[in-house]
Amino acid sequence: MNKSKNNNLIDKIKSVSIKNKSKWEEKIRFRIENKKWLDYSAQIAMRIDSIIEDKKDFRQESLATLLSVSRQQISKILKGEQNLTLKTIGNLSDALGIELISFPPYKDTFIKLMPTINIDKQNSEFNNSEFEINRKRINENYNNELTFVIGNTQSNQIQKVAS
Amino acid sequence: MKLKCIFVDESSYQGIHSVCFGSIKSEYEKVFDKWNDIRYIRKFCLKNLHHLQSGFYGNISLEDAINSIRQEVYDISKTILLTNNFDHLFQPLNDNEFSQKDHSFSKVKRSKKAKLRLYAIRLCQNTFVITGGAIKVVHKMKDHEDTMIEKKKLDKVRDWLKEQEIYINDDLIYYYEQEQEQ
Repeated sequence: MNKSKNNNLIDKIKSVSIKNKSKWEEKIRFRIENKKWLDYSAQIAMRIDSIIEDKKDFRQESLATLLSVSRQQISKILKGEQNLTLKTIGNLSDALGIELISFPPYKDTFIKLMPTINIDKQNSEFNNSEFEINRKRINENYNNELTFVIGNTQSNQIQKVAS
Repeated sequence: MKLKCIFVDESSYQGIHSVCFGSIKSEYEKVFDKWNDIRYIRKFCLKNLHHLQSGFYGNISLEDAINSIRQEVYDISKTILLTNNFDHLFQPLNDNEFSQKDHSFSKVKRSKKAKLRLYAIRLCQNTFVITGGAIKVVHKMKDHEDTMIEKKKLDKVRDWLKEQEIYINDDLIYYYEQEQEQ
Protein backbone atom coordinates (compact mmCIF):
# COMPACT_ATOMS: atom_id res chain seq x y z
CA MET A 1 0.00 0.00 0.00
CA ASN A 2 1.36 3.37 -0.97
CA LYS A 3 0.95 5.19 2.30
CA SER A 4 2.27 8.53 1.13
CA LYS A 5 -0.36 8.51 -1.56
CA ASN A 6 -3.05 7.65 0.96
CA ASN A 7 -1.89 10.28 3.38
CA ASN A 8 -2.75 12.91 0.84
CA LEU A 9 -6.06 11.56 -0.28
CA ILE A 10 -8.38 13.47 2.05
CA ASP A 11 -6.28 16.57 1.61
CA LYS A 12 -6.56 16.20 -2.14
CA ILE A 13 -10.31 15.88 -1.95
CA LYS A 14 -10.40 18.95 0.29
CA SER A 15 -8.15 20.87 -2.06
CA VAL A 16 -10.54 20.40 -4.97
CA SER A 17 -13.68 20.94 -2.91
CA ILE A 18 -15.48 24.22 -2.64
CA LYS A 19 -15.99 25.52 0.87
CA ASN A 20 -19.71 26.13 0.54
CA LYS A 21 -21.44 23.26 2.23
CA SER A 22 -24.61 22.03 0.58
CA LYS A 23 -27.84 22.96 2.33
CA TRP A 24 -29.49 19.95 0.82
CA GLU A 25 -30.01 18.18 4.12
CA GLU A 26 -32.19 21.06 5.34
CA LYS A 27 -34.08 21.01 2.06
CA ILE A 28 -34.86 17.30 2.29
CA ARG A 29 -35.96 17.63 5.91
CA PHE A 30 -38.26 20.47 4.85
CA ARG A 31 -39.73 18.30 2.09
CA ILE A 32 -40.33 15.40 4.46
CA GLU A 33 -41.95 17.58 7.11
CA ASN A 34 -44.13 19.41 4.57
CA LYS A 35 -44.89 16.56 2.17
CA LYS A 36 -48.67 16.82 2.41
CA TRP A 37 -49.13 20.43 1.37
CA LEU A 38 -46.27 20.18 -1.15
CA ASP A 39 -48.18 17.32 -2.79
CA TYR A 40 -51.34 19.44 -2.88
CA SER A 41 -49.37 22.32 -4.32
CA ALA A 42 -47.90 20.06 -7.03
CA GLN A 43 -51.35 18.73 -7.95
CA ILE A 44 -52.66 22.27 -8.37
CA ALA A 45 -49.56 23.32 -10.34
CA MET A 46 -49.98 20.40 -12.76
CA ARG A 47 -53.56 21.41 -13.43
CA ILE A 48 -52.74 25.09 -13.95
CA ASP A 49 -49.89 24.17 -16.31
CA SER A 50 -52.19 21.90 -18.28
CA ILE A 51 -54.90 24.57 -18.53
CA ILE A 52 -52.49 27.32 -19.55
CA GLU A 53 -51.04 25.25 -22.39
CA ASP A 54 -54.54 24.74 -23.79
CA LYS A 55 -55.36 28.43 -23.75
CA LYS A 56 -53.82 30.22 -26.69
CA ASP A 57 -52.41 33.65 -25.92
CA PHE A 58 -52.73 32.95 -22.22
CA ARG A 59 -49.32 32.99 -20.61
CA GLN A 60 -47.93 33.26 -17.14
CA GLU A 61 -47.96 37.04 -17.57
CA SER A 62 -51.70 37.00 -18.22
CA LEU A 63 -52.33 35.00 -15.09
CA ALA A 64 -50.04 37.29 -13.09
CA THR A 65 -51.98 40.33 -14.32
CA LEU A 66 -55.34 38.74 -13.53
CA LEU A 67 -54.23 37.87 -10.02
CA SER A 68 -52.27 41.10 -9.48
CA VAL A 69 -49.13 39.19 -8.55
CA SER A 70 -45.64 39.09 -10.05
CA ARG A 71 -44.61 36.71 -12.82
CA GLN A 72 -42.07 35.23 -10.39
CA GLN A 73 -44.92 34.41 -8.04
CA ILE A 74 -46.73 32.54 -10.81
CA SER A 75 -43.51 30.74 -11.67
CA LYS A 76 -43.20 29.54 -8.06
CA ILE A 77 -46.80 28.37 -8.08
CA LEU A 78 -46.17 26.41 -11.28
CA LYS A 79 -43.17 24.69 -9.71
CA GLY A 80 -45.52 23.25 -7.10
CA GLU A 81 -43.58 24.65 -4.20
CA GLN A 82 -45.88 27.40 -3.04
CA ASN A 83 -47.98 27.11 0.10
CA LEU A 84 -51.12 28.51 -1.50
CA THR A 85 -53.82 30.14 0.57
CA LEU A 86 -57.45 29.23 -0.05
CA LYS A 87 -57.90 32.79 -1.31
CA THR A 88 -55.16 32.32 -3.92
CA ILE A 89 -56.62 28.98 -5.00
CA GLY A 90 -60.02 30.63 -5.35
CA ASN A 91 -58.57 33.49 -7.36
CA LEU A 92 -56.67 31.08 -9.60
CA SER A 93 -59.86 29.07 -10.18
CA ASP A 94 -61.79 32.20 -11.12
CA ALA A 95 -59.01 33.44 -13.41
CA LEU A 96 -58.73 30.12 -15.21
CA GLY A 97 -62.46 29.42 -15.22
CA ILE A 98 -62.05 25.95 -13.76
CA GLU A 99 -62.18 24.34 -10.32
CA LEU A 100 -58.70 23.40 -9.11
CA ILE A 101 -59.77 21.46 -6.04
CA SER A 102 -62.80 19.35 -5.22
CA PHE A 103 -64.16 18.04 -1.97
CA PRO A 104 -64.63 14.33 -1.30
CA PRO A 105 -67.98 13.03 -0.05
CA TYR A 106 -68.23 12.86 3.73
CA LYS A 107 -70.64 11.35 6.25
CA ASP A 108 -73.49 13.81 5.63
CA THR A 109 -73.35 13.09 1.90
CA PHE A 110 -74.67 9.59 2.57
CA ILE A 111 -77.44 10.50 5.01
CA LYS A 112 -80.54 10.35 2.82
CA LEU A 113 -83.66 12.20 3.83
CA MET A 114 -86.02 9.30 3.12
CA PRO A 115 -89.33 8.52 4.94
CA THR A 116 -89.00 6.69 8.24
CA ILE A 117 -90.98 3.47 7.82
CA ASN A 118 -90.89 2.12 11.36
CA ILE A 119 -92.92 4.61 13.31
CA ASP A 120 -93.51 3.99 16.95
CA LYS A 121 -97.24 4.58 17.54
CA GLN A 122 -96.54 5.37 21.16
CA ASN A 123 -94.66 8.48 20.04
CA SER A 124 -95.21 11.64 21.98
CA GLU A 125 -97.15 14.54 20.49
CA PHE A 126 -93.85 16.26 19.79
CA ASN A 127 -92.60 13.29 17.78
CA ASN A 128 -95.86 13.11 15.86
CA SER A 129 -95.58 16.74 14.87
CA GLU A 130 -91.98 16.21 13.93
CA PHE A 131 -93.07 13.30 11.78
CA GLU A 132 -95.65 15.50 10.06
CA ILE A 133 -92.97 18.05 9.23
CA ASN A 134 -90.72 15.32 7.89
CA ARG A 135 -93.55 13.84 5.86
CA LYS A 136 -94.17 17.16 4.12
CA ARG A 137 -90.48 17.56 3.43
CA ILE A 138 -90.24 14.04 2.08
CA ASN A 139 -93.23 14.65 -0.23
CA GLU A 140 -91.48 17.68 -1.63
CA ASN A 141 -88.30 15.68 -2.17
CA TYR A 142 -90.33 12.85 -3.68
CA ASN A 143 -91.86 15.22 -6.22
CA ASN A 144 -88.41 16.47 -7.07
CA GLU A 145 -87.18 12.92 -7.47
CA LEU A 146 -90.16 12.13 -9.66
CA THR A 147 -89.28 15.02 -11.93
CA PHE A 148 -85.77 13.68 -12.12
CA VAL A 149 -87.07 10.20 -12.98
CA ILE A 150 -89.36 11.58 -15.67
CA GLY A 151 -86.44 13.30 -17.23
CA ASN A 152 -84.55 10.06 -17.52
CA THR A 153 -87.09 7.36 -18.35
CA GLN A 154 -89.49 6.44 -21.14
CA SER A 155 -93.15 7.43 -21.08
CA ASN A 156 -94.57 4.01 -20.06
CA GLN A 157 -92.18 3.94 -17.12
CA ILE A 158 -93.18 7.49 -16.22
CA GLN A 159 -96.81 6.46 -15.87
CA LYS A 160 -95.82 3.50 -13.77
CA VAL A 161 -93.74 5.65 -11.48
CA ALA A 162 -96.36 8.37 -11.31
CA SER A 163 -99.11 5.93 -10.39
CA MET B 1 -14.32 21.47 -11.97
CA LYS B 2 -14.69 21.17 -8.19
CA LEU B 3 -16.17 18.81 -5.63
CA LYS B 4 -18.80 19.72 -3.08
CA CYS B 5 -19.78 17.87 0.09
CA ILE B 6 -23.44 16.91 0.03
CA PHE B 7 -23.79 14.35 2.82
CA VAL B 8 -20.32 13.77 4.15
CA ASP B 9 -19.08 12.67 7.53
CA GLU B 10 -16.77 15.51 8.44
CA SER B 11 -14.16 13.33 10.08
CA SER B 12 -14.05 10.32 7.76
CA TYR B 13 -15.06 12.14 4.56
CA GLN B 14 -17.25 9.19 3.72
CA GLY B 15 -20.58 9.92 2.11
CA ILE B 16 -21.87 11.73 -0.93
CA HIS B 17 -19.85 14.35 -2.74
CA SER B 18 -20.89 15.93 -5.99
CA VAL B 19 -19.16 17.63 -8.84
CA CYS B 20 -19.55 21.29 -9.77
CA PHE B 21 -19.01 22.30 -13.37
CA GLY B 22 -18.00 25.95 -13.13
CA SER B 23 -20.58 26.95 -10.56
CA ILE B 24 -21.09 26.61 -6.83
CA LYS B 25 -24.20 24.57 -7.51
CA SER B 26 -23.33 20.90 -7.72
CA GLU B 27 -24.78 18.46 -10.21
CA TYR B 28 -26.58 16.78 -7.32
CA GLU B 29 -28.28 20.03 -6.36
CA LYS B 30 -29.09 20.87 -9.97
CA VAL B 31 -30.72 17.53 -10.68
CA PHE B 32 -32.81 17.56 -7.51
CA ASP B 33 -33.89 21.15 -8.16
CA LYS B 34 -35.12 19.98 -11.56
CA TRP B 35 -36.81 16.88 -10.20
CA ASN B 36 -38.60 18.87 -7.51
CA ASP B 37 -40.03 21.18 -10.17
CA ILE B 38 -43.34 19.62 -11.16
CA ARG B 39 -43.41 21.69 -14.33
CA TYR B 40 -40.10 20.20 -15.48
CA ILE B 41 -41.37 16.66 -14.79
CA ARG B 42 -44.60 17.31 -16.68
CA LYS B 43 -42.75 18.77 -19.66
CA PHE B 44 -40.35 15.84 -19.70
CA CYS B 45 -43.24 13.35 -19.64
CA LEU B 46 -45.06 15.17 -22.43
CA LYS B 47 -41.90 15.22 -24.54
CA ASN B 48 -41.27 11.53 -23.90
CA LEU B 49 -44.85 10.33 -24.07
CA HIS B 50 -43.99 7.76 -26.75
CA HIS B 51 -41.43 6.14 -24.45
CA LEU B 52 -43.81 6.14 -21.48
CA GLN B 53 -46.52 4.58 -23.66
CA SER B 54 -44.23 1.77 -24.79
CA GLY B 55 -46.02 -0.63 -22.47
CA PHE B 56 -43.10 -1.18 -20.10
CA TYR B 57 -44.74 0.96 -17.44
CA GLY B 58 -48.20 -0.59 -17.91
CA ASN B 59 -51.43 1.17 -18.66
CA ILE B 60 -50.71 4.45 -16.89
CA SER B 61 -51.93 7.99 -17.51
CA LEU B 62 -49.73 11.03 -17.89
CA GLU B 63 -50.86 12.07 -14.42
CA ASP B 64 -49.84 8.67 -13.00
CA ALA B 65 -46.41 8.95 -14.63
CA ILE B 66 -45.83 12.44 -13.21
CA ASN B 67 -47.00 11.40 -9.75
CA SER B 68 -44.87 8.25 -9.73
CA ILE B 69 -41.75 10.23 -10.68
CA ARG B 70 -42.52 12.74 -7.97
CA GLN B 71 -42.90 9.94 -5.45
CA GLU B 72 -39.57 8.47 -6.58
CA VAL B 73 -37.87 11.83 -6.03
CA TYR B 74 -39.26 11.90 -2.51
CA ASP B 75 -38.23 8.30 -1.79
CA ILE B 76 -34.67 8.77 -3.06
CA SER B 77 -34.24 12.02 -1.12
CA LYS B 78 -35.50 10.45 2.09
CA THR B 79 -33.33 7.35 1.66
CA ILE B 80 -30.22 9.43 1.06
CA LEU B 81 -30.97 11.44 4.18
CA LEU B 82 -31.59 8.44 6.40
CA THR B 83 -29.06 5.90 5.18
CA ASN B 84 -25.55 5.40 6.43
CA ASN B 85 -24.83 2.68 3.95
CA PHE B 86 -24.35 4.29 0.56
CA ASP B 87 -22.76 1.11 -0.79
CA HIS B 88 -26.16 -0.48 -0.34
CA LEU B 89 -28.01 2.40 -1.99
CA PHE B 90 -25.80 2.53 -5.09
CA GLN B 91 -25.35 -0.31 -7.53
CA PRO B 92 -23.03 -0.81 -10.49
CA LEU B 93 -24.05 1.12 -13.59
CA ASN B 94 -23.74 -2.02 -15.63
CA ASP B 95 -26.56 -4.42 -14.75
CA ASN B 96 -24.25 -7.36 -15.47
CA GLU B 97 -21.99 -6.40 -12.57
CA PHE B 98 -23.06 -7.55 -9.16
CA SER B 99 -20.56 -5.98 -6.83
CA GLN B 100 -19.31 -2.46 -6.32
CA LYS B 101 -15.74 -1.92 -7.35
CA ASP B 102 -13.63 1.08 -6.53
CA HIS B 103 -13.85 3.86 -9.05
CA SER B 104 -16.64 2.15 -10.91
CA PHE B 105 -19.58 3.93 -12.43
CA SER B 106 -22.57 3.59 -10.16
CA LYS B 107 -26.22 4.44 -10.11
CA VAL B 108 -29.17 4.71 -7.79
CA LYS B 109 -32.14 2.78 -9.14
CA ARG B 110 -34.82 2.18 -6.55
CA SER B 111 -36.78 -0.57 -8.31
CA LYS B 112 -37.00 -2.50 -11.55
CA LYS B 113 -39.45 -0.03 -13.08
CA ALA B 114 -37.90 3.06 -11.47
CA LYS B 115 -37.52 5.97 -13.87
CA LEU B 116 -35.03 8.01 -11.89
CA ARG B 117 -31.31 7.46 -12.03
CA LEU B 118 -28.67 9.18 -9.97
CA TYR B 119 -25.22 8.63 -11.47
CA ALA B 120 -22.00 8.53 -9.50
CA ILE B 121 -18.43 7.34 -9.36
CA ARG B 122 -17.51 5.25 -6.37
CA LEU B 123 -14.32 6.60 -4.87
CA CYS B 124 -13.97 3.98 -2.16
CA GLN B 125 -16.02 2.30 0.52
CA ASN B 126 -19.24 4.22 1.19
CA THR B 127 -17.95 7.25 -0.72
CA PHE B 128 -19.41 8.48 -3.99
CA VAL B 129 -19.15 11.46 -6.29
CA ILE B 130 -22.49 12.28 -7.89
CA THR B 131 -22.07 13.35 -11.50
CA GLY B 132 -25.74 13.92 -12.30
CA GLY B 133 -29.03 12.21 -12.82
CA ALA B 134 -31.78 11.64 -15.33
CA ILE B 135 -35.29 10.39 -15.82
CA LYS B 136 -34.56 7.22 -17.77
CA VAL B 137 -37.34 6.05 -20.05
CA VAL B 138 -35.27 3.95 -22.46
CA HIS B 139 -33.46 0.67 -21.97
CA LYS B 140 -29.97 1.76 -23.00
CA MET B 141 -28.31 5.02 -22.01
CA LYS B 142 -27.27 5.61 -25.62
CA ASP B 143 -30.93 5.60 -26.69
CA HIS B 144 -31.81 8.95 -25.13
CA GLU B 145 -30.16 12.36 -25.31
CA ASP B 146 -30.41 12.99 -21.55
CA THR B 147 -28.76 9.72 -20.54
CA MET B 148 -26.10 10.09 -23.24
CA ILE B 149 -25.15 13.43 -21.69
CA GLU B 150 -24.97 11.76 -18.28
CA LYS B 151 -22.66 9.04 -19.64
CA LYS B 152 -20.34 11.72 -21.04
CA LYS B 153 -20.33 13.45 -17.66
CA LEU B 154 -19.34 10.21 -15.95
CA ASP B 155 -16.39 9.81 -18.35
CA LYS B 156 -15.38 13.45 -17.93
CA VAL B 157 -15.45 13.33 -14.12
CA ARG B 158 -13.52 10.03 -14.05
CA ASP B 159 -10.79 11.59 -16.21
CA TRP B 160 -10.69 14.65 -13.99
CA LEU B 161 -10.45 12.56 -10.81
CA LYS B 162 -7.52 10.72 -12.38
CA GLU B 163 -5.84 14.02 -13.18
CA GLN B 164 -6.29 15.13 -9.59
CA GLU B 165 -4.90 11.79 -8.37
CA ILE B 166 -8.05 11.31 -6.33
CA TYR B 167 -8.81 8.32 -8.37
CA ILE B 168 -6.81 5.85 -6.33
CA ASN B 169 -7.48 2.68 -4.43
CA ASP B 170 -9.81 1.84 -1.62
CA ASP B 171 -7.82 3.19 1.28
CA LEU B 172 -9.59 6.32 2.38
CA ILE B 173 -11.02 4.37 5.27
CA TYR B 174 -7.68 2.76 6.04
CA TYR B 175 -6.11 6.19 6.08
CA TYR B 176 -8.83 7.50 8.39
CA GLU B 177 -8.41 4.56 10.75
CA GLN B 178 -4.67 5.10 10.84
CA GLU B 179 -5.23 8.74 11.65
CA GLN B 180 -7.59 7.84 14.48
CA GLU B 181 -5.10 5.40 15.93
CA GLN B 182 -2.30 7.92 15.97
